Amino acid sequence: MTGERSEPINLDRVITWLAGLPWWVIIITVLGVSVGYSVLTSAAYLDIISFLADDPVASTEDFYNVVERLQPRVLSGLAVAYGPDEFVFRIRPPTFVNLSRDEIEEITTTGERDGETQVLVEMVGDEIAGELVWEEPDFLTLRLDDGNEAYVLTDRILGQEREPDGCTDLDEHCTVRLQIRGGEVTGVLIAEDDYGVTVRTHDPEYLRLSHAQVVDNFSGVAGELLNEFERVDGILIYEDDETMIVQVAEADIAEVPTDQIQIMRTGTIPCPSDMIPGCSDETFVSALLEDGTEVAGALVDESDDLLTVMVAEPRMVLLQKGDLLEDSRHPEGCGADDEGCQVSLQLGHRVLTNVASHDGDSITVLVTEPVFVSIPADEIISQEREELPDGEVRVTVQRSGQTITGVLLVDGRRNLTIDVDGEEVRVPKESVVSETREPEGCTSRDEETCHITVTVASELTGILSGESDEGIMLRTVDPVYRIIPLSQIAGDFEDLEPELLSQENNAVGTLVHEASDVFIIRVTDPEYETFRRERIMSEQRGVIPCPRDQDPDCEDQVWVTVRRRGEVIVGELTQESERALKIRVPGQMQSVEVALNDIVYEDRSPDGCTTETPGGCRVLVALANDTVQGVLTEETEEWVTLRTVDPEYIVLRRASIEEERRREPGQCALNNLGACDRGIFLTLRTTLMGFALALLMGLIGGLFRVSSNPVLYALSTLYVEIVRGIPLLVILLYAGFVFSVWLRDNVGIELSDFQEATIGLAFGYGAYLSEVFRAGIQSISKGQMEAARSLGMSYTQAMRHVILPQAIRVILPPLGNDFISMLKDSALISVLALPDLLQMGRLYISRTFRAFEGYNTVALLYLVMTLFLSLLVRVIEKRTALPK
Amino acid sequence: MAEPIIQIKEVHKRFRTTRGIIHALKGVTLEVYPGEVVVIIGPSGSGKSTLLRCINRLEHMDSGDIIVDGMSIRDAKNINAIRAEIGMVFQQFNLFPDRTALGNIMLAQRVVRKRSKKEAEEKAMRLLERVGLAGWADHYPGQLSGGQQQRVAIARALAMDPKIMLFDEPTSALDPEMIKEVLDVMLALAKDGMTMVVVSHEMGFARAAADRMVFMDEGEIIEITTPEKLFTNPEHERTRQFLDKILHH
Ligand SMILES: Nc1ncnc2c1ncn2[C@@H]1O[C@H](COP(=O)(O)OP(=O)(O)O)[C@@H](O)[C@H]1O
Ligand SMILES: [Mg+2]
Repeated sequence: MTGERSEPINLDRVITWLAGLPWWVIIITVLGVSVGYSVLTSAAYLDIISFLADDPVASTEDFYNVVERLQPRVLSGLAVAYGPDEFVFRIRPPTFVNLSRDEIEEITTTGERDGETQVLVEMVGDEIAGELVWEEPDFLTLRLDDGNEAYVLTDRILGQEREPDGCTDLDEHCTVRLQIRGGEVTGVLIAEDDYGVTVRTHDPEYLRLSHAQVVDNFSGVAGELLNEFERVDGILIYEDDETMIVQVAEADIAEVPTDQIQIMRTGTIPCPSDMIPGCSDETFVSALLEDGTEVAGALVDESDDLLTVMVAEPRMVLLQKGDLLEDSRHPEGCGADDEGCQVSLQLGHRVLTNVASHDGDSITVLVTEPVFVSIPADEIISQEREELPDGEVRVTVQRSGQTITGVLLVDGRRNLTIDVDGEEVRVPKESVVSETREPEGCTSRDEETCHITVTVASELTGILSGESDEGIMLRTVDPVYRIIPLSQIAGDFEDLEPELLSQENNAVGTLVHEASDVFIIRVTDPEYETFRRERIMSEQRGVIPCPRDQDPDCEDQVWVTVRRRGEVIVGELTQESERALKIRVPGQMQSVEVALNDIVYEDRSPDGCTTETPGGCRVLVALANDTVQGVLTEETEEWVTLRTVDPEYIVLRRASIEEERRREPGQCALNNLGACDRGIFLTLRTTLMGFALALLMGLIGGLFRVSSNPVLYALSTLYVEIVRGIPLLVILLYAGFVFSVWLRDNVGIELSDFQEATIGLAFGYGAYLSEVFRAGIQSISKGQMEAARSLGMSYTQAMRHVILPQAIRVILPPLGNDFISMLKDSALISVLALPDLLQMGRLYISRTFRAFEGYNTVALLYLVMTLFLSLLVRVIEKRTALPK
Repeated sequence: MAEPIIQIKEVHKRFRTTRGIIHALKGVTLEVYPGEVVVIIGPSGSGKSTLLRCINRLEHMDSGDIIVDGMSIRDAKNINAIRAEIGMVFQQFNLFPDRTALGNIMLAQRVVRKRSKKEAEEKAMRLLERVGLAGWADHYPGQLSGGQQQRVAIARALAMDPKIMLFDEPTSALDPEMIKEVLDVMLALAKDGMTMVVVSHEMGFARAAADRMVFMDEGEIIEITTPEKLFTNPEHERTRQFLDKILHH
């Protein structure tokens, strides 16, 4: 036999080789193969895998509703073909260039495409002359005769003359005459005659859109086409409840008598035959008339003596009615059906970052925030007061504030010009409150530099909103509110501050209101600060008047600026770092963290103690004074609460939302896998729980099977024999529809589907495991039990300490195999309507009809799990082997 | 003479098997005194093992009685406590294969005698030294030779501080070169005054250690005598025949 050449492939050897590989090599290979497989075949697999894994989100950090919206794409153009579901749009007309012979240096054919000739036209060069201003290796700057400057790239220069010869830009006069290479034009040659050529430099671009897509896109059109508060004037073409189409520019159609044409050239505007089968090309006409005018465009109509040419296409604007601030029509009240309904529309974006309040059908937007200015008493030079009809007082304050120090440059009649660190500052003399000069009385004409310090007064006008010994507080800018019905909101947030939207243009926040077509999302939560009144050193208050003209019942808010005495904290030092201290204050749950920067006074007892000091270290720290400001929200004898950060909201129109994802706390996420309970997770969980229960039942059953007690023996034998004789599927159905119903009706315990499935699996597998345990126990020689008993151990002690530990070793491999079988058999639980791996796979397939990929993935996932488990079993087996 | 520590009175044992009833012990009566070494010999199947196993109730006797240290084991409530006083060494050693030599000796001390881990370990180490295996504490049974295993088994039994030691052919599963090391340990034990009932056909050991010899055949004690008498002048013909077989083969 040996030495025979045609020895059959030795399968045993392959298996031995495989078994000899380290287990991690096998795992990595399996994972690598499966990942590679899914990526290589189709991205759809990743989608399926994610679906089968309960679609985990990345993180539970933000338990928010997420509303996502795609950037709308604006398409304006001419619809060239309509179909029932879709239409073709010319988003870019072709461009043509007419070139006369004397401009052309050379025409080169570069290629042929679709029967058209592509050419490169080199233009005749040019000559320019001028004064050399600047010269660099790669460009020259010339000052031309008309005073303009021209930049010329060196590599375009064909030849040059300088006057005087060889002069440079350093010389006082250097006239340069340059021969410059002509430009290039590339495109499709449309027509050619003795006078010149016409080249189509850009092809028309078409786009096919489905009507459904377009509806999505409409919402964004106005926002991109029009700037804020832009006015649109034109003829109303179309109008419905939400949108309007306005023709803002008419088509420019020229009628050209043929007898006036000096030169005429024609070309084709190719139609998108790939999008519109059987369409016919349009004709492009370019004509030079006898009077020297040129007419170019698409040929609309042609007769013996007249050509009609569309010189410019009409321009339409599609508007979202929600964007309109103003809508005036002429004649009044006309509509799209009326001929020539002139509309004048005022558009605007509403930047809704400052939604002050909102209710079910409108929002109140703070368009302009109020501004408060505090003026210390010692800066007030003079003030004038005027009582306003509504009871408020307008104050005009002359305030000495800014001090300017520098070198006096000009001492003019009206102004002083001062050089402040190289910057010239002009100060009106009438606003100077005081000035000092150094040397005293110096002027700008002195030889010596004249240093000057001036204090400038400024005038400030505002509504008196607070007054104390320390000064006054003025409201210099009044708040402006606008109440907008939700129905008018366009959902356009082009102008929103970028931080409100993440890069992907996602609005992330807490949903506070949801109407049929509008969402209001709080993207910034308000922040509050509460402190003791006794910490207030000084305080100024201003009223933020509410929009009483729009809402008579509204309540004013109070704006507070507080100078607070720094807190004094006394407690036990618990932690100390380079930047902060942590102090445990008696009666408080958490330690207080204090930044060292904020500490103005510190005392320790015992002196200089640290956290290491035995017996503890008591510290007293006084923090620096600080200032807080915000809207007063609550006030008691003892406490004051300010809202220091206002909440911010954004409003989105449902139509502009591309995708919406809602998250609730505790949802399935990659960092919260415990909450994932469908697909592969359910399969794993049922298997693990079921197997744990089955182990228990198997152990009890196995012990009973080797028991000398005939009742226990009979019971366990009955269980094993009956259960092993019934398909697991039937047992599961019993668990789900017989046992659980009985339990509910007789005991009052309601089992979940998951529990039913677990119990069913465990009950079925318990029988198999009983046999495994029995065989394991019986495989241990009788001598072991006798030796243990002869040492005085009871039966239970001997079982526990001697027999079972040995039996476990024997039964681990069969247990592992049963675990693997159970993992596979857990696919049966889908009969109890549980969304396990298989059930989710079938659900996916029923939605997407991707049966091939779907079942492949299901099978692959089972395979990965079972392979991994077999490896694990093998490793455990090896690890627990007794040394020989 | 002192009170016997084991009194075996008219013990009958029958095994019910598929081939019928085997009458393994037919009214055996024997007394063993404290400190005495009794060696039992007899042909295979004569009931020697059954007799030993009845003493610590690994087998239930059918009739008769066995009194160990003044207590009848027949209906003893706490047989485990009595067993702890009777060490037993098996022909097949029966060490626990998943525990080291040390673990084997410690287990019952911890579980039955409830000794602390430290105490049990110290005791086990002392016993290992006593059986000449001081350096082998961490070895598993699978890593020990037969003789070493049997010595560990003896140490394991001794760890319970038994009053009586039963040996059931402790050397008959051993290769000849290992027999001596086990017998030496047993001899030393006998010298220390341990009460021992030994089933063995090692005549050298019997001569050196036995106070009395018992010859059994077909479930009956045929003859109880001293070693000298047995070897020089056995009373019964059956004894003589048996001795002939084992001494001159
Ligand atoms: N557990 C048992 N079941 C049935 N028969 C047994 C059992 N143990 C021993 N016997 C029988 O009892 C008789 C005595 O056996 P044993 O005491 O082992 O003899 P020895 O140890 O002297 O060789 C033998 O015939 C044997 O077959
Ligand atoms: Mg025997």
